[in-house]
Amino acid sequence: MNQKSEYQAYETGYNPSYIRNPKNDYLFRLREQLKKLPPDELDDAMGYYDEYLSEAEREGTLDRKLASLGSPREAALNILKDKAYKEIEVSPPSASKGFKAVWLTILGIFASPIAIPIGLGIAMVVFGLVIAVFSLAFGVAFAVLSALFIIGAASVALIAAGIAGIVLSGSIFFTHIPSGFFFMGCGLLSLGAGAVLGLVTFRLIRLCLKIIKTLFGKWLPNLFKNIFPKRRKAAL
Amino acid sequence: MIFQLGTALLDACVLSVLSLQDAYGYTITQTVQRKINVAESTLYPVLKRLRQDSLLTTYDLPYQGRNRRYYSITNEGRTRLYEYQSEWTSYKDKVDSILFVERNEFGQPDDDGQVAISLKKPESGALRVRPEEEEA
Repeated sequence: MNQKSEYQAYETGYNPSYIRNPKNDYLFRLREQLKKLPPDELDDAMGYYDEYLSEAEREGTLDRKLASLGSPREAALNILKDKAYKEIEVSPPSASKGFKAVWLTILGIFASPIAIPIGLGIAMVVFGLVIAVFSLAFGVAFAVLSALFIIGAASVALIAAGIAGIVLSGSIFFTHIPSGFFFMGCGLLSLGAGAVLGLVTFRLIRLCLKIIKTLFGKWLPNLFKNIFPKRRKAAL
Repeated sequence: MIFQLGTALLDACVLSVLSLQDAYGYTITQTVQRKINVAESTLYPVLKRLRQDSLLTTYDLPYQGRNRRYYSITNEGRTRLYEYQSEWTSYKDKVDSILFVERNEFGQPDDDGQVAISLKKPESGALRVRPEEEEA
């Protein structure tokens, strides 16, 4: 494969004596489209179209021929397509995986040469983003929930302390009445604060759970449906 | 062009053109295009494939400072051409036998009943068989 193409003059970046005219422009763009081919096939194709267009030039029909030929990409696609069909014929579809590989090759040929890596890159970026969003939602939800539970635990502690205080104050009344009232008061205060905090926290936790349920039950599946609409069509 | 010329038919046409005399790419394309409105950019793959299958050979002749690549049909190419010709004839007849089902003077289908006999008698209210009766 060290053989160099004869049509090097039309290689991108190598044009010491390249004259710009419609014929050369076509050949230049054609070679660009065919550069993935092995040198002998490349030269064969270039030789054909070089001869074809030169003949048209000689007959004075170059403009018409260039118009009816279409774009160099069209000619290139015809060549590559034919080559792909040949390869399917030659390699029998022994395993469905082999067949898929050939079709993937064809698709890759039809797309621009860099489409497959770019496609993979984009797919990975999208996948990463999806995971990030998911994790973020998950993380935030559980962080909030944990905080609420901690506060709930604190409120339970306050209630317990309050009850303990009231019970204790009962015995203190026998020794010193004002102290007894003091302890009873503290106990009631703690009880009340704990009860209010507990109630509020309970309501908040319920709200959080409802949000989490809608988040994972509705919003995220909808997001997925928007990203992968093709799958839905295939399912239909 | 409502009907598309398949690759096999295009191969056959190119072989046929070259069975008359050797020619180079430009002339071959011109000749085929005169009769059939096929995309020019499809001709090169045809020539390449026929050559790979040894149905054609090539030789270069210099002309006005450039090389012209002439294509020449081989014996195998001629054999394949005859096969294509008989295939096309039978294919054409089959299509005609359905496409051109005529009626004779008695209003009966004129094809030994081959096409009409496989059509079942329509139920009342189904497809009309004789549009003329409706008008009457």
